[in-house]
Amino acid sequence: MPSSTRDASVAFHTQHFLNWLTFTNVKVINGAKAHAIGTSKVLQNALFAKLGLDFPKAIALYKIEDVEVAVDKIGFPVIVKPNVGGSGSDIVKYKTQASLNKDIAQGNLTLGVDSTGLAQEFIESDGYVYRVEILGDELFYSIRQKMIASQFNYCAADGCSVDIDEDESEFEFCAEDDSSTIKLFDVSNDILQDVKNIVKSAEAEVGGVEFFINIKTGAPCYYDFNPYSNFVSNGNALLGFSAEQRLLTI
Amino acid sequence: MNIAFLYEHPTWSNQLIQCFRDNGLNITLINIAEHTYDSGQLKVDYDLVNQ
Repeated sequence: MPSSTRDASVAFHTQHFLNWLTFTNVKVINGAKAHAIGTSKVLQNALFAKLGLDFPKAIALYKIEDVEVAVDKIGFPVIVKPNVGGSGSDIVKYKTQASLNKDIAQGNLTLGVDSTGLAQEFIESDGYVYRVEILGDELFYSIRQKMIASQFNYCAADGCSVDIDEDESEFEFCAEDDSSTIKLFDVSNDILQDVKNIVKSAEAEVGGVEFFINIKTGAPCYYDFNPYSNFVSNGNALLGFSAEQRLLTI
Repeated sequence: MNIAFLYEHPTWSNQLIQCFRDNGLNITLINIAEHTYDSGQLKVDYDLVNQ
């Protein structure tokens, strides 16, 4: 939901409204709990841990200076990102203590709309981001997209672009700008079950989970649950079908 | 059955909303970024409970 192009505080307005709907006994698909988890990397990590899944080690923090404390536990490279994220906004990778110190000293590091964030270990992947979308308790579709070298923030679903520091960024990506990098893929039964468990545990009835393959283990490393990402823009061109129309025909 | 669709995203939402319309679905649209509501009102007209 939040991204560099929109006011991230709308996530809190949404959370209050969904809580209010729950309080008034309105049936909500992807309600308050799904939204809360979808907008909190901390809760997503807790969910992955509860389900026994692999995910990047991450230290939650409030003050920028506590990044230093977290780095003592994580080491370098380290990724620093807001807890209330979206489309990869404000995610920065630091390869060295010097580059981290420089950004802290110059006030270039931000933890997002509520000043909470995480310092997260960087895991080498096979170069792809995988996303599996679930509708109800069934596979909706599964896609993979190639990471773009030297870029960091990306949004496969809406083609958002994010202005960031090229020196520290890794994966900026715009699906609509480069449809050749997004493809359908056949998800394994084991991963599909993992994703179903994540979506169900988040009390979502429609949602997507992103992971990459840890090249050291060859296993999926989960890093994002998203209750909003199903409807890839220009799906006919990117996927060969309209996710919106598929929703209505399932 | 009354259904409300809560949306915010400028790109994803338009296509889905159009798809609802094309398929004849009567959906109450709520743009959360512009939405205000009476916090003390405990009944809403898009309540799906008991429908």
